[in-house]
Amino acid sequence: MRFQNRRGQRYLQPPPGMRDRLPEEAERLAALQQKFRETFARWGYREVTTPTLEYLETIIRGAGQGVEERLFKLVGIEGELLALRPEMTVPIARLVATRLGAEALPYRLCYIASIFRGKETRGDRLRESTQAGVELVGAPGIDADAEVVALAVEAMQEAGVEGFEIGIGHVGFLRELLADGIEEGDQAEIKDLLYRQDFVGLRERLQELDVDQGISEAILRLPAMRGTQALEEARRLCPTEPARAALEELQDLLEALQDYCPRGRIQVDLGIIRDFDYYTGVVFEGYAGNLGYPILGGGRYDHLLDRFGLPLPATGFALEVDRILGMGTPAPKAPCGVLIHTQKADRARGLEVARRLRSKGVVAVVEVAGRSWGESCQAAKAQGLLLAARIEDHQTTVRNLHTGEEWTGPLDVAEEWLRRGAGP
Amino acid sequence: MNGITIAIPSGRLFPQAFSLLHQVGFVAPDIQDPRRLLLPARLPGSQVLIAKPVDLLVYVEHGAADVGIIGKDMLLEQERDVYELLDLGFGACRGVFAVPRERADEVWASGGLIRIATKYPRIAEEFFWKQGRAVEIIEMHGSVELAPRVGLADGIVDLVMTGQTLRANGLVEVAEVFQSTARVVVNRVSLRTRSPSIQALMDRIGEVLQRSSPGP
Repeated sequence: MRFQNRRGQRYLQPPPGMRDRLPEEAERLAALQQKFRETFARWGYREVTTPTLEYLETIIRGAGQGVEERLFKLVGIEGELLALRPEMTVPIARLVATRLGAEALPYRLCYIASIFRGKETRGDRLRESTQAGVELVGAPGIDADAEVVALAVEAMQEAGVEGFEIGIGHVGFLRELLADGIEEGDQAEIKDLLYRQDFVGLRERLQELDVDQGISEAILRLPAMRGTQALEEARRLCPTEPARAALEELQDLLEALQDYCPRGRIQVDLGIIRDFDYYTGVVFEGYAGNLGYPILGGGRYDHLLDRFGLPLPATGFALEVDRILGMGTPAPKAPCGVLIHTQKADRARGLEVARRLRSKGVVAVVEVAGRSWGESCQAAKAQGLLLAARIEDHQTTVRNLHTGEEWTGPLDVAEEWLRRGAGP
Repeated sequence: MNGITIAIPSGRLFPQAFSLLHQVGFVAPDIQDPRRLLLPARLPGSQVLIAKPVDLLVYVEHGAADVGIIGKDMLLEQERDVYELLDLGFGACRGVFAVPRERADEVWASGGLIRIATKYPRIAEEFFWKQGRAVEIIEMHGSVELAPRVGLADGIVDLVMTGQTLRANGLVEVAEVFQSTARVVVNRVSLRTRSPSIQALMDRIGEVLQRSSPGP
């Protein structure tokens, strides 16, 4: 192992929180993304892309003022404030509201995109990461929520994630508790404590504010309100009708999920508090293995599109692709593919062979650095190729780069050999 | 029930944190080998991890430890993504802004840039920002009280328990910046995926706290 001192050589490094991917990892990432893409497509979700940059005001309008300090901001050439998108739901809401309108509902849209957080305080602290997700726009009911949860579960299964769990909560429950027991002016502070997961501070503050005993207890019990008895307990603890309605909705969703997703490990978790303020109903998160942070999150956001001028209900989720990728163990890649080596006189013949092999799906790499047969074979072996072929006027030599075996014969026989030996 | 890993801090909070784990039946009392950083717990698969206070929350945030015991001062300084569930009451101390006795009035009144030595750069920065004062934060990792004596800083923001160290170094408290006691923190995913074990542990700790707190 070699260590280097790159002090003062900033140009050699990506910025903090950003990273490169070498071919092996980039290929695994692409394969995983392809899996998600195909899964989403089978459920009728069509891919959209949006620009990496949005106006700062677009993102704040969608995700709330609180998002600003987490953004990666820059100044555009006209002096306007821009931001790198911190998630994809707001850009897609803007896209739907301004480009699609309310015909042919519901829209099933999906994306695979890089997102950016300037001040990322959670988990791995990557400032650029990849999300894959879906948005189901224009469908208000519980069935729509159940569909996206079931699709999230299927995507996890397709990705080979084992032992994952989904927790489902409802922001309406907390919202109603707060609305019922706490003065409007104090609600933001309580929400902030909840968001920071500071239940010691929360207990003190609720006492100081002299909040109703039942409501205060319900709020403080949030982190423990999960599993089969959670709904029962929540019903007991909450006196108000709207909060009950939220719990009712959760109950309906759980029942729907028995049909939509009979094998998923799903449980109620009223303690889920998501990090964007556009959520209005059901919210959910997914966890797996020993990873200390969620690998997916989502929920219903019925007022977000209205902020861009088109009142449509919507629901969706995002998968943390990099975290999911990091959980799998990379399988060693078996050598495959062919190196084609010719002298200039035989170049056309060699390239013709390469073309035919590629059209059959065989990786064919041509020696372009003008090296000798021996050198070229050595390099090809290091690059993970399996076979090498030296094509000459009257005969062709095929070498197995890993056993060293060689065979010499006519070109058409050799070509068949290459196709079978190194093909997919 | 899954095994869980509890991180406790070396140093000041260690004896009481360890004793608490013993009282709730998580560890046997006789395995305190000061050199070991991982101790087996009574339940198979469970363990105790002894971490430097400044690192402890990293273990819990990433899920390498499911539960941690740590001072509120570290929670305030590091703003980690963990659940803070219980106040244990012990390890009480205060974070204060202190300056040399002979310059006590002058430092604040001067209105100029104040140099502050501290182990809590984020807390200190926020405190002075809220006062509308320009400060230069000098981050240190130990013996902060020395900084004003050798002219490195005009004042300090540091933990105070008895006030002894301040007095010995000719410093006086100007303002209280925060209060701290030991807290129980839990990883946000462990809280869900190991819910029965962790809930049981929280209940046991709650009982112990009830018993040890003075009656009505």
